[in-house]
Amino acid sequence: MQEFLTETEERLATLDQDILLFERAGPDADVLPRIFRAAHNIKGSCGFLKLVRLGALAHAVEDVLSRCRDNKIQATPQMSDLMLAAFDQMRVLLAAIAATGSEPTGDDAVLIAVLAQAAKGQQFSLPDTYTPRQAEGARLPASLRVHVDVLENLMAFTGELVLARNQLLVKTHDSVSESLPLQRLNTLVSSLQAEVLRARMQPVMQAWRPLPRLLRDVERETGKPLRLEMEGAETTLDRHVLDMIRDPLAHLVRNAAVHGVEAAQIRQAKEKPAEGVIRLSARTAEGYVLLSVSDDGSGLDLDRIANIAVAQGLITPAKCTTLPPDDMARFILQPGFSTLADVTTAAGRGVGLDAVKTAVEKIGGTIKIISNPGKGCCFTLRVPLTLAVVPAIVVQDHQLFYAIPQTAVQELVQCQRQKIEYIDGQAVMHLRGCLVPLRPLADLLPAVTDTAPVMQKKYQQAVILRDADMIFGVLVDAIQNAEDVVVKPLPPGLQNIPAVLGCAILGSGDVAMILDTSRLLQGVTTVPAAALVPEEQVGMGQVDALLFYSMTGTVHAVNIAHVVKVCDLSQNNVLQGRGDEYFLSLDGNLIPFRGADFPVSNAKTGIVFCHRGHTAVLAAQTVLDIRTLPPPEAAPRITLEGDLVEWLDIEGMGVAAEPLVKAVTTVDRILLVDDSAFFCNLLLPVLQSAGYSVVTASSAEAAFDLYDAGHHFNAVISDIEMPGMSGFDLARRVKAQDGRWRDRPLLALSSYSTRHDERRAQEAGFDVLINKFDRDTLLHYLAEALRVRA
Amino acid sequence: MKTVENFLLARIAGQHIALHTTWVSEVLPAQPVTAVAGAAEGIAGIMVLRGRLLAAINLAYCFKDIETSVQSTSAVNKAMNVIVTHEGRLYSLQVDAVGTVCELPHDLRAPLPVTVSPQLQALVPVVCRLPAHTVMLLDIPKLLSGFGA
Repeated sequence: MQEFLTETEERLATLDQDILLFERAGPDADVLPRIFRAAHNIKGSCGFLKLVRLGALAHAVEDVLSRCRDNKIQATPQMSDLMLAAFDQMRVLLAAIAATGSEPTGDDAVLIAVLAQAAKGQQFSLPDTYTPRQAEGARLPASLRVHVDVLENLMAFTGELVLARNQLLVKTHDSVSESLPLQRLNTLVSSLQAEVLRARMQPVMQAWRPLPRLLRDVERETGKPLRLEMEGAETTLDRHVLDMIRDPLAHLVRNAAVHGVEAAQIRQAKEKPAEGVIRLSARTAEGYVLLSVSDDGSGLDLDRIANIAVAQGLITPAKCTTLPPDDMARFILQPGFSTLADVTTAAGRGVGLDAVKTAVEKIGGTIKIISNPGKGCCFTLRVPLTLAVVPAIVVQDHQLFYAIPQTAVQELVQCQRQKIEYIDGQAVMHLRGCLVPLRPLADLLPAVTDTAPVMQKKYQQAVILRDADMIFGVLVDAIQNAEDVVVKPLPPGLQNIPAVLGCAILGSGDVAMILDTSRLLQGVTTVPAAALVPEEQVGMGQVDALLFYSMTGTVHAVNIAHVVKVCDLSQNNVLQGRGDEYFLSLDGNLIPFRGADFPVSNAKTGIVFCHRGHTAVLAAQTVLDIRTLPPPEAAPRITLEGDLVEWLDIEGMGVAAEPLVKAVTTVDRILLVDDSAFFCNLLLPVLQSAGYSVVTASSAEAAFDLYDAGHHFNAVISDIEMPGMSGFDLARRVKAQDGRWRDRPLLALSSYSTRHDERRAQEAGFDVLINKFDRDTLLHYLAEALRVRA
Repeated sequence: MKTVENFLLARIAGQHIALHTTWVSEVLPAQPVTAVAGAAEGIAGIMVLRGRLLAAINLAYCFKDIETSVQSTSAVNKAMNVIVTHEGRLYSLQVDAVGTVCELPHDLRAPLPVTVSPQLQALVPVVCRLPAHTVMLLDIPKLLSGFGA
């Protein structure tokens, strides 16, 4: 709609000039067809957007211009006045649409009647109410058209600025908290980066626009009645990503129409409506956009796919019987694979889906296929929101740096040599009940230097990656840090390197390759398929527990939801109080040790945990692992790989120190809205360990879906910067409606906040804006806000 | 009117070479180079130049056929980097040493001996006889086209 408003404003401004030119130059001027086309285009857009009133006016104007063009009537100065008055009235309607989102009530019958008189060549007089307003009515458009090159340059310079900022932050790492100008610069650069990225975002509708026409052509060719449904057209994507998915989407829609939807007679025989439905949907999730193309056709013929796959030597007949249906369906993404016997202009050549896969993977996306026999098929493309700046985990391997997009990272694991096991020579790791295949990163990339085989090299770190529904781990020498990296294309001569999306200059000045994890997974598929464990198998219905050696030498488990932090103990941070009382000095707080009937001074590790609003430290020899275990109610003691593991009895430890946060007496239900899975995972255990029941939503839109579904929450905590609807928009909408959430505490989270941001947050309706990393303040405000509301 | 052709003299792997100054934008001392897994042979890695990333080409690779003790083409920080521009893109040519800029008269030029490998003949169409030694005139566009430019 915004695009239409901008475009129409521009057209009307041009029309004003053209009418004056026409008036001066006379009927022979070639300006008349241009005026006619502009009016015709406005009418066409109104029809598409269902703007009836504006469309009727444009239609009446078009009639007059059409008759003029065909020399049926003479253009007169009075007619120019009439045209200008009509354009002014259109501007009035546009202003109302811009303000309210819809046309104002009423009609333009009088003006349209006069236009009709003019079109018939009859005498007419301009109604007084429609006197041309000249320039006084003109207003500057709310948006401007900017050449793409300007945006690209702006993005490039912002990238350089981000890079310089990062380097400055690294150089002044220790004094950054004291350097206010640097903090200010940091905040401004982040804001600038976010705004420039936002300027590059375009609604997915841009890519969908040609699809109705495409479907109509297929409809004509195949004789199948088809309907296209769209949902989430306002979802925004970086224009570069949008460009890249335009053709893949067209391929999928064409394929759905030709392959998926059955002929009308067949559908009727199956008691389906004759009209086939192809549905497009788009939504954001965890820093990605999910774009689905689904149909209500027959679904994929998996038997036929299996036969062709066997015939083409892609799989053995024996394996066909054991391969899961979704994996079998993925064969259609192979080059030259087609199940259609007849080649038509629309589909059937066996090219297309592999091109779709290649294009999607090129931008770091993935494809998921879900086929429901007899009911339809759904292709979901998971593509990144932007390719310009990527939040990444920076790792080091063989003296080289690599940036792994955070959205692909499931978790980071510190591994010791004995934890990596080998099955048929392939490294694997037991991770919370799941057998995760591992590969040294160096094995997945072309060799740079002589690399030691995995059996001989002692890897310290593993990055567990998630790709589509699979997880796998890559072994690296070291995990450096998390950093927003500005993506730069590989220089000429270095392009087309497998599994590398681009490169980045790190804050340290080093160059890192940005890895394409989908391509890395292709390397992992050489591992026997059985070694790849579906994600769904990870930890179902059990509890994630931190295992540690206690000071008495026994292995204990504590629910990870209670663990706030694990830290090294030293003489500097362990303080002795009266008698045997010991405290851990952490972030300016003194936290008491509990369950310590031994000299704390011998302990090396402190496990800070929070239970029912109370925080305490447990001294331990060392932390062993994180495992998924049956809950303590089911098994207070279990045997794990020969060791007896005992659940820690937190209730019996007498945790009654000075509470860092107010104790929660009743279970309050909190909605946590954040598009970053990383931050959700960070805050979830903090809130849960403080006694809250937490539900997460990955976007403001998803939060309102919960609202619409009737969910009740005692408080809402929301991030500010989110794709689509921002936190500010969420607060404004919550406060604007008379709904259940209006009077609930509304807390905003932000990584960077200024006084201006705090003011904006309060104006939007938030109770308070809190730094994302300041857990204590968050818990304090939350408890206080709930107490006040209660 | 006589057209003046200036060349930058350099040394690589024991050979004297001349680079047409049309392509040369600057000369830098040794710079850190990041090796890249899967890079084409002859590319030492990526070099950062004022925020821009450019491919660093180890010129020793081009002369490996006539040099007996050529080092590995992996990330070696050569002593000097000659930054060249071709079709708006920058490349770094790693050399051992850089000399002066001078004119190389046409009457002193001669084709490369036929005994030299065809690969080198393609990169060095002619040599020029100077009082002290013979220099090879490197065809920079041809060299870069071999690296995908």
